[in-house]
Amino acid sequence: MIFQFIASGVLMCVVLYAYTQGRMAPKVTAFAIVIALVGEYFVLFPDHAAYVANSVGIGRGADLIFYAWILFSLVALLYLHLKLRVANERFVTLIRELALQRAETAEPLPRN
Amino acid sequence: MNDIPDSVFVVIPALNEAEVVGDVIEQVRRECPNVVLVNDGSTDDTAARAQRAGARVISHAINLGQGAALQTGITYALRLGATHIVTFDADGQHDPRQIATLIQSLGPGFDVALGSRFKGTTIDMPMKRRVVLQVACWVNYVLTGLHLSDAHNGLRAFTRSAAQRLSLRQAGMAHATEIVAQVARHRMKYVEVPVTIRYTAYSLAKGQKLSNSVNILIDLLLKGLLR
Repeated sequence: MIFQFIASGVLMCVVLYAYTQGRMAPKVTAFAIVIALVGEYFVLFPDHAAYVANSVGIGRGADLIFYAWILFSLVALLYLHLKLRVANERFVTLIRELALQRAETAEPLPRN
Repeated sequence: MNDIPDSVFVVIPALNEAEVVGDVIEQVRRECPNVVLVNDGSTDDTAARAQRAGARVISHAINLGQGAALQTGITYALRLGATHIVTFDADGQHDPRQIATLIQSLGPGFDVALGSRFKGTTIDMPMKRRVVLQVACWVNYVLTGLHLSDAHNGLRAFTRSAAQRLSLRQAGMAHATEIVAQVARHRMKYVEVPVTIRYTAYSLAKGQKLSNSVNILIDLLLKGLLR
């Protein structure tokens, strides 16, 4: 019961935080809210996890949660990695432009 | 000095090449006076020595990678009004006299001239590197559809219009394949030109490690996901 209380609190915090970030990343927000609410449901009704697990061919509800956690973690990791690369590309562009501006200040370009 | 027009610019990306960069630039300037050296976050004397040797120097505040350095140099040369741009390695493994050959090769309707050590000559090339480069050619073919004899040769020449169409997103060493991919995508007319590559203890120590080939492949595959 204590764990259910803590897990519910954390998941509700995730929902609230995701909701406040909705304008910045609507798709990620929607995804995070759905996952957190599904998690909340299974925390409150753990027997239902076993029922869903059986219906998709997995023995125990705990295994279903574990497999789902691995899958979502991998997807999140790939998403973050790609986001990081995009951010890095912007950073590279910024440093390059700064270098060009410094060079042009030192040697003004010919006017065409 | 030969008959290379004044509007040709040589772009040299460099990272910690103080030991050789002065000599390399002096040799290049005997063939072509316009040299742009992109100092890619060097922590040694590279920028000062390049400047003393007569190059225009652009400095990245931090190290970004050879692809980013090339793109910076190409952009700058274009802003300076370059009609042709030659990319050249800073470690002294290229022969500056072949800049003229590359430029002449662009003459009859080509957009890009790609140096090929396997159509030309290699001096003291280790067997391991030869094998890796042949594998890289095959990877290049799979990823770009262009079958070249040399995949990662830093000696190339572009016309102005070809250079304007280049947009390198690969900051690191995967840019070599990205250039070939963009040549294919923009349907640029290219020619492979035999060149000489001289391997020295210095250039082998400075060159990319063979283990880096895997990183390059991952970069290229991830770039496909990001496109």
